[in-house]
Amino acid sequence: MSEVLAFPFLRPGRSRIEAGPWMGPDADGAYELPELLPDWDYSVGLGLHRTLELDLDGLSSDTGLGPSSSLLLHVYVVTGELKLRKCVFDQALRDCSGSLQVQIGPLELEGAELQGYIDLVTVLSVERAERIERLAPMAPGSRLWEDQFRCRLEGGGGRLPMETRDFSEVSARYALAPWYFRLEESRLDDRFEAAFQVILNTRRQDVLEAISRKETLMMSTLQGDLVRHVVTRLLRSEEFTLRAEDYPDGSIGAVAAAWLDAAFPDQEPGQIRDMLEQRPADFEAIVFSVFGGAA
Amino acid sequence: MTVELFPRLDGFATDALWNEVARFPGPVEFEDVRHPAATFTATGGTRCDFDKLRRIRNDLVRLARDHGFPDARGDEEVRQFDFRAARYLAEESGIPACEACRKGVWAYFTLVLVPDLTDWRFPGRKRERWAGGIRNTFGVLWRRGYLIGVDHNDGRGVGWSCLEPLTQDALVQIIERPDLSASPRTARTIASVWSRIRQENSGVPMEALTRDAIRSLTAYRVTQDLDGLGEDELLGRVNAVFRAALANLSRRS
Repeated sequence: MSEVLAFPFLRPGRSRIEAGPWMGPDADGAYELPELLPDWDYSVGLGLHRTLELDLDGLSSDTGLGPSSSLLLHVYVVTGELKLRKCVFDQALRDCSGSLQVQIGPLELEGAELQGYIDLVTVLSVERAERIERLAPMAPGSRLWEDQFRCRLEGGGGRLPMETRDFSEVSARYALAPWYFRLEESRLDDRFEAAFQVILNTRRQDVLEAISRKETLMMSTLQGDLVRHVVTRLLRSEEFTLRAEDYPDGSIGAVAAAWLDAAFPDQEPGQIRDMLEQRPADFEAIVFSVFGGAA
Repeated sequence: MTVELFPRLDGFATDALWNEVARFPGPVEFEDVRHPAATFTATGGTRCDFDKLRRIRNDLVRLARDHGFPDARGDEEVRQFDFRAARYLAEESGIPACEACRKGVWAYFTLVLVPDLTDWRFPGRKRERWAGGIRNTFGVLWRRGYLIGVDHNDGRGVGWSCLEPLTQDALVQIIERPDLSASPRTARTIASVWSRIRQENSGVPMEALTRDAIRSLTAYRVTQDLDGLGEDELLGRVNAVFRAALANLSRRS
């Protein structure tokens, strides 16, 4: 979910900066960087570029900055589960009038410095302000415009990521469980297939074989249990708004919100949370009825 | 260059091993560098051999022994162990940044490779110190070393002298806030200003001062591109925030 910020200074309208997509060259020429890059590993470096069109007259007029102001354009790469951030491009724009096309890149990103995903964050900020209006930005670094694009480098693919493990190798306490659900509930904006995983127990050949044969009873039980697990976990998080439009398409937040909408149409988030809290058996029965019924 | 791949525990295995540690009443002991639940990234490099993992374990144990392991230890011993281990992990152990970014690698360290050191370093068995998040015992040490100490070939050289004086509280404030200090340049600048302020103002309660300053910097970062400031501007901004926190403290006392 994105947060709305009130900046304490004037900022340019969206139309003043037109940002082209991030492009990556391959053997056949340029391609638009996708949200999910298949077949990536550490040995694969990324060469990226994009174009920015800046209406500097319009930007100055919107922000109350004079033409002798100077701006800074930076691109940062954020990567990894432990979130490291690095500046990979910077350019000063010393003449703040007319219009300008800026070519960003090619940026060469070493595969061995990346992990999991890259967030490409493009920021236009103030280097030095000639203030024409009182609400014009003043401090160096004032963030005028920002654009962020996430490309997932690992994970994802199928709609329901599954893997098999011998549970007894991990813990004797789980040895006979048929399945285990892994959910990163703090990552509501992440793609469903990256934030959620079903692990099937190879010790439970009865279950594994039934799933591989797509037996109706087993598949509907798995599906009902899976939906119950995900929505129950997310409803306990205050961050989860239950509105699909608050989350990117295909994200865990959007998928769970759509499930709840299907199971509890016309009910307010508070009513759904109350039912889970006060009548959990009814809640689970409804979820199973909608998602665990025979196909 | 081939990347050396390190073993890791996925979330499922981490949960299971952590549950066993949490329920175990006695001291946790090391068993083996191998564990059936440990896996490697499927492609993109070559697997680190187990002899190397044993060497890393031995090196970390030796460092810990220098600072009191396995006996009870004081705050200063812990601080020195943390500094030396951070430097070792970030500079000498050979863990590439891409692998060090994986939570599962650090879960392998705490739960398989050096569980006895984890138990000694953080008595009380808090999950966050054993699982693979930003507070993992050894993951956070690598992060300190990487962000503040390591030479990133950007003309600034190494920054170990900025890392060494930092107290546990200062490190938590600076390093465990990825939105503020995920960039090595910003993290080191904050660390160097902290050290100078403490040197110039002996007797000042640094915990309160640091919390105030970090709060201001975090708020500043929302509307200002802190990481994009020039060297002097960044230093000036961080300095100003710490000076303002110092002035706030003087007013209150």
